[in-house]
Amino acid sequence: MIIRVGAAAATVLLGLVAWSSGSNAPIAKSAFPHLKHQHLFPTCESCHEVEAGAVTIPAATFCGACHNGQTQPRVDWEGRSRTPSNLKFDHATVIAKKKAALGMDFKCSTCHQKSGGEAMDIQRVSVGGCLGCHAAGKTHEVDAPCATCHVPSWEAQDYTGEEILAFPKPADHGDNFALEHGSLAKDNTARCAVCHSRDLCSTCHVNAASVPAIQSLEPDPRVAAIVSERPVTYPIPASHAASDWQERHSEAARANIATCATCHTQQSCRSCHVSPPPDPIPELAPGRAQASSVHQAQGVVLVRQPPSNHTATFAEDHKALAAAATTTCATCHTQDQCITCHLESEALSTPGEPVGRYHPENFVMQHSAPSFGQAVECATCHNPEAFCRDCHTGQGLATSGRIDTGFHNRKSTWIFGHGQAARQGLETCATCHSQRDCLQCHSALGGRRVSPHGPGFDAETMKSKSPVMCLACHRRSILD
Amino acid sequence: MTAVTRTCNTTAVLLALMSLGVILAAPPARAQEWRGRASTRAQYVELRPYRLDSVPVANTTLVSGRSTFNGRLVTCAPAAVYCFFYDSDEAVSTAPLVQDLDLSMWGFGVQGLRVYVSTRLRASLGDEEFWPRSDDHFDLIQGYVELKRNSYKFRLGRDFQVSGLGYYGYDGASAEVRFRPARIELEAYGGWGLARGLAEPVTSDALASLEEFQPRRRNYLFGFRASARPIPNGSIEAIYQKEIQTNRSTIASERVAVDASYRPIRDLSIEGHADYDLGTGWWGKAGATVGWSPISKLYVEGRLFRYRPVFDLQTIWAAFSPVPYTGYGLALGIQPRSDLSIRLEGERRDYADTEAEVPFMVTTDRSWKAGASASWRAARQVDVQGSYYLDFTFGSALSAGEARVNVRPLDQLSLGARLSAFQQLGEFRVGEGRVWSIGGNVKYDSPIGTVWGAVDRYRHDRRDPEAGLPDWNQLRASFGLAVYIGSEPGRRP
Repeated sequence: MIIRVGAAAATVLLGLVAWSSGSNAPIAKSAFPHLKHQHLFPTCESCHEVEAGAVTIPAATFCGACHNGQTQPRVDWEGRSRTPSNLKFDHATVIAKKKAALGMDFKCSTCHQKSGGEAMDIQRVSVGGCLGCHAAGKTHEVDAPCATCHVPSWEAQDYTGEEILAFPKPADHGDNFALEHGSLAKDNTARCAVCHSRDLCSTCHVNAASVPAIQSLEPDPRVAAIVSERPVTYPIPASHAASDWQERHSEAARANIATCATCHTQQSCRSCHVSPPPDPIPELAPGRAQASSVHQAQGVVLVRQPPSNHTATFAEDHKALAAAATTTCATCHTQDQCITCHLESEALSTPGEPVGRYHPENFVMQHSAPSFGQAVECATCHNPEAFCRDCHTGQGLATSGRIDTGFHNRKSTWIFGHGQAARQGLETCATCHSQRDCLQCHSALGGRRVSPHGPGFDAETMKSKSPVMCLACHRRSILD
Repeated sequence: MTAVTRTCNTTAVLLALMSLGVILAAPPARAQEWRGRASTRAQYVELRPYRLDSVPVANTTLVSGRSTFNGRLVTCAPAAVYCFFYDSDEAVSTAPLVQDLDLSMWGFGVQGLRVYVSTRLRASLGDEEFWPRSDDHFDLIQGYVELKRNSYKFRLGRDFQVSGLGYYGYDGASAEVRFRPARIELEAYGGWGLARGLAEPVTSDALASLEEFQPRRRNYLFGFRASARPIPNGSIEAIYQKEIQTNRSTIASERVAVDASYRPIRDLSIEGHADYDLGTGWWGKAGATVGWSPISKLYVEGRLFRYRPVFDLQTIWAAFSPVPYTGYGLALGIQPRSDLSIRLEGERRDYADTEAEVPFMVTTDRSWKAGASASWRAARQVDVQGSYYLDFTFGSALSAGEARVNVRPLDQLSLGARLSAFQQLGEFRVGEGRVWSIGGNVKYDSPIGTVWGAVDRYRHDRRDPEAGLPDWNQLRASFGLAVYIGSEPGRRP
């Protein structure tokens, strides 16, 4: 394991050295064979001159003085191309400092000549040599203070946006780093800045404008041009995978909405939450629809999905759940949805819409059996007198005060045998018959004086609650 | 409309308008927002109402011991001069129109303050007599001012409660407090009650059919509701509600209900509910449902239930001792393929003894229901659905099937065609034949709403021409438009 980490570290180290070694970096187009020319150029200064910010490299024409095809064969060496760098290293400054410290003994070969090697047997400078003083005890790829040697990415103008985004990933940037980097970034933005500009953070952080650590970074148009077109995949925190997260996330949101604000805009929440959005949703960024034209993350896009308990028959079965968790329903549903079915429900079904399809299109033609059966109480939504009886009156079905024989089973004996049907489906009777119809026989005050009271009739309870009901059929003396 | 009803409605409307006016007149706050919904639903229907006709006894003839007139069975009372029979009258048509308008406004500079108004308007391009509630042209369904914060909610105005007791509206106020994170909610509400399942007071003309039993003054209604989530994925609610008749010092109803829901594991849900009528001393509806989905492609649901209707004590219906039924059912949902889902269900109910059976006319006290449906996504834009439904109960029976196909040539556009047939026994009678229908529908989702239309042609093949039951040979068409404007325009609720 240690070996593997060490190998990875070495790889990263070499990679960074390759990027960061400035004028001492490997020659990109073609390495100049220094050793071969050691007798021709006795000193480094013969070819190189230290200037502010860089060390000069001879032009290809300089070689042509000898390699002209006569003195020496022509060569196709075109001169060394400069390797991009994000190092803060400046030869002139370092040389001046070293000379001041070490005296005139400090020469190019002090750093670049191989140990024990001949003159012009040069090497690239080892980063480890830098760290020996600049970050003693630290490893380059993990905990070194990068900003000591490296400039922020937006200042590394030698690089393209693609190259910046391809900077090697430090070993501590593991699979969960996207979820865990917050505290690290908060305390060490300078380290982040070596590879990351504000635009990269804004790719995911919808609240980038209000995060000081992100704002301490500068924008970088090179990076923005790339990442703004790149799809974003948000990591899913472990808490979100809990089975009851949908139900319980409001507690977390209320406790610390700032945590949510990293990935979620109001648009995320409003994919489920109906207007007006409950607190603390308005504290979140509004979302892309209202965002400025500046590159800004869209945030997690949520698609409203019905919970798993919203089964195919949920319209019929939701009573207990809706009653026991009213607040939960109100998260996604508005009251006008309730009244679409729960109030009279003459609302017509909308093809393909789950809401408004409580009854099928031709239910009025077929409602006889469901009405007798009463799987759910029709009167919850349809007032029997105002809705059912209103329509039945228009259809010639309803009666008031006059009982015509021959309707139900077309037998004149129906009137004498209707008791069982009436007690099984009394609410159905009430959709056509007025109370006066029944009182013609079922009253102690007149008519045939047939008692309507049947099993379970609790006269004392009803009398105590509503004595006037008794008086509809009985003399006042019954109340005594 | 009675004077009392008119006054009450006017009061509610004025209250809502005054609240609206105050808020609109207030200086606009930066975060002021509103959202509106306009839902228009219209349809064209053809009907053939019943007509009670008569014929002199002398003109009837006996066939197999039963009186007939021109081959039609008639009912002749002993010693009567005339015999009667029901028949379909001339066909009539009407076009009822329902317009719902909702407006929700918030952001008045006071956190959590909201005004909500929901109205329903009705009209009919035809005779208002033939469609329910067409003659009632305006309902204020809701109209309240709400102050809602994390821990409490107040409402003032016209509101309703949909709870374990059903739908009840009232003109009054409600207060709700929430205790987090214990997830306890307590609510008290009350005011002048509205009739059950109706946005009208009991004094309304819409309830004139109550005749002498219609209260002359509005009822008081109040209730208390408590809910809690004592355990993860478990919630329970209890509600008590009482309605008092103001002019008789007696109650119209007094009921309690308990509802509970629990999901011990993700794949298992348990629900239960029960209500009790303190006015009559009867248990009303109760039920327990267990749903289990052991794998994503299978869902099994078992139900035990009990049912007894509820009647207000301002009517005499409770004195007739409606009996309950108990039942059980089983449903099975399977998804053998990702594009195919099938649901099967069955149910049986047994009625309690009515103590009113007579030897010469026994009504069944057992009911059966069964259904099967399937949905197949034949292609990305094509859905095919089929269903069959059988309901055999006392007094009526129904056998119905339907097949439909929906095509979405565009994401926003849906075209459908459907074919259905049903056969039923109605009103303790013989079968009235088979009704066929063929129809089509179209739906278009615009950025701010949905517009749709449907047309169905019904053909009634009468098995028994003497049944004297409604003639369903007719054309029906419907049209709907739902628009959502203001905040989040076009977003469906």
